[in-house]
Amino acid sequence: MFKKGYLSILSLVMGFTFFSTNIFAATDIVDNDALSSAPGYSEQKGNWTYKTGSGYYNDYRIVSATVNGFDTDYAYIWRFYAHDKNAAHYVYLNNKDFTNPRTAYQIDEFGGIVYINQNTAPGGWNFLKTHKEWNHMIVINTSLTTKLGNVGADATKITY
Amino acid sequence: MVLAVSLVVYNGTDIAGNQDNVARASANIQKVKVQNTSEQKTKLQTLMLNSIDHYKTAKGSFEYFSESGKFHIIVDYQTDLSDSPKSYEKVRGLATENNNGITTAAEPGYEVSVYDGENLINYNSGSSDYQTNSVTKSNIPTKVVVKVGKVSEKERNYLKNASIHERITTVDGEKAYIHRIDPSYMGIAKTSLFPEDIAMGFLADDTLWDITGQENIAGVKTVVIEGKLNSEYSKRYNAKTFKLNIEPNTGIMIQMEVFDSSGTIKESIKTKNIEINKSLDTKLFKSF
Repeated sequence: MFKKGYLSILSLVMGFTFFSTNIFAATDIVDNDALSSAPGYSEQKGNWTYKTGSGYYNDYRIVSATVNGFDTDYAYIWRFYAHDKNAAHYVYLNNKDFTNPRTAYQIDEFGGIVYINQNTAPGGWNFLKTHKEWNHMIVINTSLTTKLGNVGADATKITY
Repeated sequence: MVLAVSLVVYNGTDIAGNQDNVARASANIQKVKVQNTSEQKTKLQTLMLNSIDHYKTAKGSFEYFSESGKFHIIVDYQTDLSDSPKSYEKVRGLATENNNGITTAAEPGYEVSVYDGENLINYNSGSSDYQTNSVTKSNIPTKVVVKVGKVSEKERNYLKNASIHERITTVDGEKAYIHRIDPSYMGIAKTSLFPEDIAMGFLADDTLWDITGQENIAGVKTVVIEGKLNSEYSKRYNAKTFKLNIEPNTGIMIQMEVFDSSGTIKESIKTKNIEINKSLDTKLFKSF
C-alpha cells in the first residue's frame, strides 16, 4: 500500500459510532508524517525512528520506551482540522514491533486519557473514545506511558 | 447481568461453583471434559469482553513476560469498579531466570500508576541501578499528575454486555475494534482483569479455539481455552498456539500462555495471587 497520508471522505459507516445514530459520517485519517494534503497534521517531540515496510500507508514511527528522557522529552501528536465534532477517535495498531503494554493516549485537550496495551491490541483500528471539543487531536502522553518495550505511532482517525 | 456461570462439565458439576477467592500459588491442576459448544464459547467470550461488569473489586499480582517486548515484570494491582472507580498498580522488573528456571527477586526500582477517582498519577521511584533497571530510567524519583475527572455513566455503560459481533465492526471497509471505556484506568492490570484485547484478538475466529477443560490456577478454578493464533498474532509473537485460563464468574484472565511450535513460551501472564470482591487497601489510592 502506498503512503497517501490522508483521507477525508463522506462514508457509510457499517458499524456504529459512539452515541450517534447517523448512518452517514465523515472520516478524517491523519497518518504519522502526514502529508500537507491531509485533513490534519502530525508532530513529534523527541527522536522517533521513521520506518517503512509495514504500517498504515506502509510507514510508521517508533521509539523505545526505555530511551533516556522518554517520559519528559517525547510525544507524538496527531491534530485534525475538523472542529467541534462529536468525534469517535481511533488509533491504528498492527505492528509486531509495537510492544509497550501501557500506552497513554490523550483525547483532544480535555477528553481524558485512554490506556492501550500495544502488545496485545488487535491488529487494525482500535477505538479509543468519543469526545466533542472545538479542537480534535490524539497525543501519546509519554509521562503516563510505562517505560517498557517500544511505543509505535502510525495512523489515527476520527469519525463524526 | 451474570453471564457464563453455567459452563457445566459432563459429569454435571458446575465449574463456577463456590470458590475460595483468596488465591495462593497452586499446582493443583486437573483437567476434565467440559462442554465446548458454540453457545458456551460465546458466553465465555462475552464474559471476557464485559468482565468489568461482573466484579466490584480485585486485588492481586501477576507476572507478565514478553519476549517480543523484551520485558519480564511483576504487576501488583488493586482495582475498584464500584460507583467511585479507582485503581493502583505497581510495576517492577524481574531478574532473569537462573539456570534452574527459577525467577529471582524483583528489581529494587518501581513504577506506580494510580487513578484516585479524579487524577492519573504516575510515580517512578528511580533507582541507583537505573541503567539496567526495567522501569526506572533515572536515580531521581519523578511524579506526574494529570487530571482526567470521572468517566460518565453513559460512557461506562456503552456496549455493556455486547458480544463480539458488536465489538468488531467495519468502518469505511476496514475492521475496527471497539474497546469499552475502563472507568478505573487499570493500566497494565487491565490485560488480566479486563481481557477484551484477547477476546477480540485471540478469540475472534471461533473455529481456532476450544474450551478444553478446567484447572486450578493460583487457587482459582478456571476454564481452559486452547487454540491457534491467527496469522497476525502468530507473526507478532513468532508463535503458533495459546492457552488461556479464565475465571468463569467474572471473565478475568488468570493466566495466558503463548507457545511457539516447539512449546516454548513466548508471551505469558501468570497470576500469583488474586482476591475478587474483597476489601481493598484504600491507602494505596492516595499515597505511594
